[in-house]
Amino acid sequence: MKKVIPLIILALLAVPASVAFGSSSNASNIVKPSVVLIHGAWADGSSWSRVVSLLQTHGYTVYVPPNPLRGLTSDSAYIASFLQTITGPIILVGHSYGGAVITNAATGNPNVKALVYVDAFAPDQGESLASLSSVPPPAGQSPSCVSGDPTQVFNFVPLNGGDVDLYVKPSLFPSCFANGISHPMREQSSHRPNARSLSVPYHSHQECLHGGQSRPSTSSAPLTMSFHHSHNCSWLSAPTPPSSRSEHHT
Amino acid sequence: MAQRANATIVQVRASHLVMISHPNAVVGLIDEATLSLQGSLKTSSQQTLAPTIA
Repeated sequence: MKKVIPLIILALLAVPASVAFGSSSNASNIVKPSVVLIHGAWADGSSWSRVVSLLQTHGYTVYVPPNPLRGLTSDSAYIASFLQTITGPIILVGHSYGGAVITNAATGNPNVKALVYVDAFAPDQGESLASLSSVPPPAGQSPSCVSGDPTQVFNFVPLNGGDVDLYVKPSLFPSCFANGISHPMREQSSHRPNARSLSVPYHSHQECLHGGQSRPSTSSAPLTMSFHHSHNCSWLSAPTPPSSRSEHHT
Repeated sequence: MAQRANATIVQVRASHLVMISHPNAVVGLIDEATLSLQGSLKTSSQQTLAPTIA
């Protein structure tokens, strides 16, 4: 935790106060890209509802396509196709598993100018969610609440073809997935199932990489949001040393 | 992951569904991304003609 505090301070100092607290005074009179919001696992587009309202107030055109949650390859392909229907610059935003989807979906699309990760996976080329999920959680944080015995965490709904949809058990959902938000909003947290073939990595430490959904609601550990510029996602295919990058914001 | 990507990082004391509990923080980061892109947007942007979907 001692290492985290300076990072928090640096982040707040690096971001103009008007931006850090959500005011659009600096961004209200400039060219606005379209914003595409990709929800994560066990969620749907309604998880972005508050963000959508604020972005529209700020003058953005906002899209919230469904993340099919059928598998990373097909999910990414679907979102990539959706992005092809948008003319002009795009900021692509992903939450949780949605971060892995936007990373793949943006590849090769020159309109995607920035990727924003909201407590999300940001895999590099060749990395799998399983490999990222195998990283132990930060010191002092528990493994993901969905990393336990699947039969104790999920309700199973068989699908044609042998796959299974996984629903987080209703008894666990408020404390496991919707922790840290007020009770009425927990009920608003829409809950879509994931195909089990997608969810395998979630049997590991998954979200704890950023101290996410596994934390108890009383935890005050910070989570991470970030963005970086996307030039056809060149950093994914040809990572460059940090010292040689020009868009370095910390 | 964010650090190795050389990303601009903002940390918020929140649980996983931060877009519900702290929507202003999320929008603030998107605004910051927009501001950082203005040089390229002025030269390459086109008007988005598709309708807003919320």
